Amino acid sequence: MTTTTSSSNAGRRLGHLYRFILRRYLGVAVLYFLLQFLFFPLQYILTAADTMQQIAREGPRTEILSFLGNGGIYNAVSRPVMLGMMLFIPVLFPLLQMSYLHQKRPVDLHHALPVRREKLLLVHFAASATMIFAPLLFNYLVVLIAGLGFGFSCFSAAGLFYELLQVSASVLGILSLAYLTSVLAGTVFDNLLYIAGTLFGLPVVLYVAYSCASSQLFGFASVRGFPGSFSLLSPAAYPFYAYSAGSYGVLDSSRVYEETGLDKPLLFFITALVWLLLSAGILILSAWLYRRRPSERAGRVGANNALILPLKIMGALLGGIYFSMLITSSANMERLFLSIPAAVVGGAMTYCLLESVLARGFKTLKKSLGFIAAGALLPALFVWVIGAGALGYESRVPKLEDIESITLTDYQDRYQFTRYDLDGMRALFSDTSPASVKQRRTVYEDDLTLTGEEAVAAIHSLHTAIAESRLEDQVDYPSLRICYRLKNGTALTLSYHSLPEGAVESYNRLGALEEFQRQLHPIFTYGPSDIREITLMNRLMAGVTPVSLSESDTGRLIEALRADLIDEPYEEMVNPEVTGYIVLTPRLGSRYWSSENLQNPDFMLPSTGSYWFNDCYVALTPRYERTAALLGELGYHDFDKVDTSEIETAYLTLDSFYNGTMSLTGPVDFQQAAYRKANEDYLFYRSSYTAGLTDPADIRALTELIRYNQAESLLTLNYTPEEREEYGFWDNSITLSLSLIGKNQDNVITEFYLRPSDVPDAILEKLRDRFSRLWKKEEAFDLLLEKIHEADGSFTRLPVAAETAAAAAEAPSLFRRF
Amino acid sequence: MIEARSVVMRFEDITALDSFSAEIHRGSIYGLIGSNGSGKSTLLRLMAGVYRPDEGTVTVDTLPVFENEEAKSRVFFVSDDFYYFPQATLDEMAAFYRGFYPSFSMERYRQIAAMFPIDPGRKIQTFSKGMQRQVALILGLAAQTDYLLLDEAFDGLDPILRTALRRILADDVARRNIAVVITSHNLRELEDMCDQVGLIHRGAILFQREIDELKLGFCKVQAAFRPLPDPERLREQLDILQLETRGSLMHMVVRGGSSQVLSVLESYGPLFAESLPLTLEEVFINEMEAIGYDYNNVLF
Repeated sequence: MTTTTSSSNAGRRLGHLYRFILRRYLGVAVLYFLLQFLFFPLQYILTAADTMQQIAREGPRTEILSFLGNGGIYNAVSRPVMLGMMLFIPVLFPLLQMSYLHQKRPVDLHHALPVRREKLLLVHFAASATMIFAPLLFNYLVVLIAGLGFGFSCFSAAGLFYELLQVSASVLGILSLAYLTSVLAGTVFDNLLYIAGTLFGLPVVLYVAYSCASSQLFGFASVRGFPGSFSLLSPAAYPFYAYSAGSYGVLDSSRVYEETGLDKPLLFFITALVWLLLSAGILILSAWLYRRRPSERAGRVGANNALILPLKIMGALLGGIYFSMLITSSANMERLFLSIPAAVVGGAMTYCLLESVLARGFKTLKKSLGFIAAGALLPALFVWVIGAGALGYESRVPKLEDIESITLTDYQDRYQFTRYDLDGMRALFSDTSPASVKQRRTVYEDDLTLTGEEAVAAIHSLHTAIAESRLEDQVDYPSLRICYRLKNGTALTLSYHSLPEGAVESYNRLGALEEFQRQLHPIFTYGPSDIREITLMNRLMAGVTPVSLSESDTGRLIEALRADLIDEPYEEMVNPEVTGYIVLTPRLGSRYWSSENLQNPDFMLPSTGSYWFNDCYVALTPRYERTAALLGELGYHDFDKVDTSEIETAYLTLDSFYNGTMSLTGPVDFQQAAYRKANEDYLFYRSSYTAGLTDPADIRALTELIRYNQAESLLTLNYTPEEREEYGFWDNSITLSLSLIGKNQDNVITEFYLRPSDVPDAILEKLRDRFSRLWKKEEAFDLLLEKIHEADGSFTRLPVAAETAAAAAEAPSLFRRF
Repeated sequence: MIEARSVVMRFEDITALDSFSAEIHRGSIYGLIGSNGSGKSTLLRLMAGVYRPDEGTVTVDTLPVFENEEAKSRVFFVSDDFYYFPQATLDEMAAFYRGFYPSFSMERYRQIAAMFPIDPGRKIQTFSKGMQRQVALILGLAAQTDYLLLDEAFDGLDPILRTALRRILADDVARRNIAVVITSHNLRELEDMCDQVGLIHRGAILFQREIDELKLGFCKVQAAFRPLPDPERLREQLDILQLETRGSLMHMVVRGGSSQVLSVLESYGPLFAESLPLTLEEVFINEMEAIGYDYNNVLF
């Protein structure tokens, strides 16, 4: 009987406490509810109404632009506001409700009540959860009803529930951690610091450490999905990650299959479940700790607890690593010499700062010397390990015999055709729901996997040369990411933002290897039935000649091109004597892969093949004998003839870039009318440093000087710093781009590159008036000419016009040069 | 009964209570006196279950009080600086406590509240300190628990209210057989109210006695003699704790009953001899001197 009475009394007390808390914070809860209603369901309804009007005017495409996030339930206002609100509210309620633990007077009241402490905490938690979730569920319900009512195709009830799950997991995670810190802290201020440290400390420290490693560790390879994945360690941080995933509408489906092996929606789903479980665990831990918490901790500054030391150490790590990065980025000295002392100073300072803030004074610093030392040494140790090569990470190159395959990412060959990842798109497009169809994007294939002995050995040799160089020797481009799959089943990935200058040629030579070409050039992928049309043109991309062939002859042509490509040596690729181009427009060309077409419900992917290309052309040179012979046999003889009299104007633009990779000038997507228009706009945009020449002799001379590999057109000038300052020169590397405008406006406007030192002074002189305006003084142009003459002569100068004519007379008729 | 047995309570490097033991029986008003920092409030908080002792036990009716809902429902603690929820009124605080204490009586609450010049619908934070103390006492009395702990609860109250409260407490003790523990550093305040007093100093109880027993054990006498008798001879016959002579007048504090002492003095032929009432403070002074403490060093 007594037990029953006791139980019913206990139950009554808890119910009474719960109702009391709700009444006490009703005002805050109502305000939160109203704000959420204004910024969420009301936003949805207003946007939906507006969108209905837009659809009536412009058609259904507009609806996807209005709605964001999972389920298509947010707009540009509600998305960030809800994100912020659902981070702030689960912190606010515990701060308010549990503040009694941090003041002496109210703690007497609460701890004298005939209620066990864990029940006290759980009832407060239940009240917080009620005040947060009741409005939240109501508002989501309103959106659900509105969404079903309006019936937009981008709305998804499943997406709404998925979003609700994410929000709930995040809120409960933050709430449970806030209750934990409330139990451990002695004052409200300390509680705030603990909350901030607990919610953001770990992901931020990991992110900074990751940034330090990625910027200073030579060869550090970022793992796909990092550092965003660090945010999964915090219920407050991971919504930002999920936010970015949903930014483009319902579950940005173009970024799937991170290296975690999970697509993002599944990853966040698992994260949500994990945080729901963790929340329960943290709450149980909080109740257990609360029972043991001395009441006298209330109002006590710097009260010792299990959280305080880890937070201070984390802070010291963060401060030490960050300070080290700050110092080494500002100073141009040996990194290790600076970075370790900087880490020591930063770590010690940060620890002392946290210690003095938490203790509200400096008196405890003396007692904490040991911990200060730890706070100084830990970041120093980290920075030292990174700076010293991370225990051999920087210099690690696996043995050649241990390598099974190598994958390169974003390898830049001379053609740089875009590859579409058909396997990826098949997985993505398997979801045929209207919402998913509306979100379709192309998926690009960036990886290149090599298994052949020659390719593997070449890459291994290149990597060895890179690993033996120093970080300071690197040039800007190209970047290189190498993933080794070893025979023992493990993988090693290294990434270089730039390469040493001596390695650039080795990098470029890879593009000449057969295994590279077979994967990177579409001619090795296409069959005769894949080709829609074939076009020939001269080396100036004019004289466009359509080619009409049977499927069988197309097949022979493809075979001839393949063989000629493979036989082309690297030395001839560096500075090719292009005589013409052959363009093989695929049946599924760039228009086929446009967003508009992808989002057509009837869109079909090719049923076979792992990848596809957006374009296909080959630059023909005298080396392409098989192709020349076949074209001749099929009656295509004079397509390579150049008639410069058809050119109205040659525009020369002073330009500057550095890219050590080969980049072939060619008829990229030449059939697109937009391309031509873009060039016109491009010329207008650069008109301040573009000069036009109309003298036919000049035009003819310039067309003879074209460097078809853009990298070969770059000239390095040796300005002194004083000259740069005095004359206003902006870069040491210059090139001249040449744009040719045909008299017939239907001709393609194309852009070529000239090496400035190849251009005769007589022609350069004609640019004086226009180019002089670019710099501070008129004499700058004279200095420019002087520097051009002084520039290093390691590149091969093209033969002058007379030599060209003589050589042309001896060339096979198909590939005459004008 | 509230029983504290060998209780030790430490706050970092300070020992607030050192092997403290005490028994507080129902049907009595126990006064606990000590200077600031002596451990009075700590003891009350231990009895209320707010603190957990580092060593020893504190029980209420044989139930350990810490984290024991049954035990704590029998105890109401009025701290020296009672906390009220912001913006709360007396009625709201009463409603709050009513939900936790099954013995809380709204009728009793209204009855007691009517006796005080307090508007139950007005926000407590607008009251003076004295009025806020009244509120705390009203709530404590209305809770009608078996044990009422009052930590310096009478400080700041005017004499009329003190008298009224004393009567209410005495009535509750007699009617409901409750126990009341009152702490103070003012002996005069406790004198008229308590049945039992304990003196706490530096976390330990120096002594605890029934007040009657304390007072009956001593008497203060003033007598006039001509000539004055020999003090040494008097000391042989009486247990004199204090002796002061001024001319023909002799003042003394003697351990023993007044009739017994007066009859001894009569044998010396005084011009007059009379017994005067001892204050509790005087009793304490003498008791403490007897055990070797200077009263002034202990209390102030």
